[in-house]
Amino acid sequence: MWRLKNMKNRKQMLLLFLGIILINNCLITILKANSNFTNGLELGTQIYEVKHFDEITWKNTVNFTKNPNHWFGGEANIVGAKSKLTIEGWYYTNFMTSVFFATFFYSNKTLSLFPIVKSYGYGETYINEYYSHYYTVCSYDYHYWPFTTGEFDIHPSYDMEHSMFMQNPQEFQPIFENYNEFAGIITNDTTLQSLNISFPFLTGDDFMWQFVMNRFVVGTPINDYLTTMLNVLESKNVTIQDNTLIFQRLGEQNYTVEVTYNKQGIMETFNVKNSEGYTIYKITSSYPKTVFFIIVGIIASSVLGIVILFVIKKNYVKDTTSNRKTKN
Amino acid sequence: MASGNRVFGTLKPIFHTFIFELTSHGKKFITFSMITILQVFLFNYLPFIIGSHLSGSLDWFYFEGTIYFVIILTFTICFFFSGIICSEYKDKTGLTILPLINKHELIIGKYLANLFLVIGIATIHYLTLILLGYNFYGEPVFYSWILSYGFSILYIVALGSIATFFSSFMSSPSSVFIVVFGFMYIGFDLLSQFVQAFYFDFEPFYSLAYISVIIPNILLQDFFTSRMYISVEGAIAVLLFYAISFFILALLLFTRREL
Repeated sequence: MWRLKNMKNRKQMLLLFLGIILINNCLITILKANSNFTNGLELGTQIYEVKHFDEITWKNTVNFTKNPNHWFGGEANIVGAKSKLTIEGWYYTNFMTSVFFATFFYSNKTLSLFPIVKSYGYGETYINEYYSHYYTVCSYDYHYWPFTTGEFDIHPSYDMEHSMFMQNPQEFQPIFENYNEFAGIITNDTTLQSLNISFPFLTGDDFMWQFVMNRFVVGTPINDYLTTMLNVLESKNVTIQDNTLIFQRLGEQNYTVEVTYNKQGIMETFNVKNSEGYTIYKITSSYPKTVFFIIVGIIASSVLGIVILFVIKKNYVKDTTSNRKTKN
Repeated sequence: MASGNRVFGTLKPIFHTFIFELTSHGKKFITFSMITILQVFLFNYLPFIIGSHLSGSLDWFYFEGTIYFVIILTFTICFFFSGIICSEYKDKTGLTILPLINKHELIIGKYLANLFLVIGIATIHYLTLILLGYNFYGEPVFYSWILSYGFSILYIVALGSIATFFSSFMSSPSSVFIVVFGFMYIGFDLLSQFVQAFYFDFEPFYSLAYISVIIPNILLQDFFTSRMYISVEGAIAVLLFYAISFFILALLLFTRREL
């Protein structure tokens, strides 16, 4: 009787102990969910393909002089052109503000002007001194092949490239404000004014467009991450629907751009539509991993089928032999 | 017509020996195939799933997947070919078989069967590696694996012939296994050190261990442009020499060996 009671007590203690651990883990997850997002990246390759391009409607709606290869490079204006992205690995680290300016905010033109700006004392040291804050990021390495209608080379065109995504999208807000303040300092500097050098001020919409065109990765859950970004940056012409960002833009006429993210947080589809909803330009993605799993599934099923057939045959022969013996 | 019947008469026992050897080594084949697949998954899939960085490019991925395979391949060849002749004497099965079949037909049938099985294992390795490479890197499939596969086959034929030669006069498969494996990883090394003590710059083309390095190295894209690597023509010549000479020696010794 005493033993039974003792065992019951032990079970209760064990259950309580497990319960405490579980609750603590859940609490941590709940607490973390609002402040940090997780990395959904997987090692492997994603292949982009231009599925549709209506050049005449593009010229009339988006831009008369520029075509999609001004956005994506390579042969992105040719239907059937493919581009490849291979994620090689990632690690977590902290960077100071200057790195975020260079990664997320500077355009190609700004980057080309930066050495001159730096020579006048507005380099990384200045930025980190005035905006001295560390931010945690997931930094990832990748290989990239630009859009091409030919075969991909074994070695990538862009080898060992690095990029990052913010663990906490709310941190975009202070960096965004710091950047615009820095752009103001540069623009108002009389020496740089005399050289006709200025840094552009960015609105939330500008930043989101630049973010998408540079194909930065987002954290998961994707909808929450993007919603947080839009809220902190106060984007007016960008909305979100599930995992899709919808940009309202004005070129030659009004048009929309829909950018859908996959479960890894990487851009999956890119769709340009006119105001009537007609698709002018479309990029979709495919994953070699899918083919891999299909082939593995077929092989596994075949092997299982052969093993089952073998076992059935063996049992049939056994039964037939034992029946014959019984009859005799 | 008569010559046709004679050829058929010669090929039939070889074919029957071939089929019998295939079925009797079926379990070994399955075991080694699974070891090969496991090796590829352990070195070329699992590390990347649990967080390692991917190799820089597809050719390096294939290369890393093949360096350990050469050791497994050597082990597999020794295992399959070591008992090819001496098992008939050790288990006394030769007393039953040899009155019914010509010695040449027996050794050719068994040699071809074991060759077929080991080449099958190598094929499984390369196909698994290509599949995993496609999983991580997508298209294109890098065709240098065909060259590496070709050299694997030559290596199997050469080392298989050496194992057959030792099996033709040694008493048990285990001793053949130890001698061949030891020769590959210790014997050739010692011989190379001895030769290089006198001729420092002499490339050890006689060493199968040295030649076997071509199997993973030929997968690298800079193989044909770099001078660091072994010459393809030299490797083919040495492997063929080993294959033909040791097989002929084995055939001669087996013909003279009494039960």
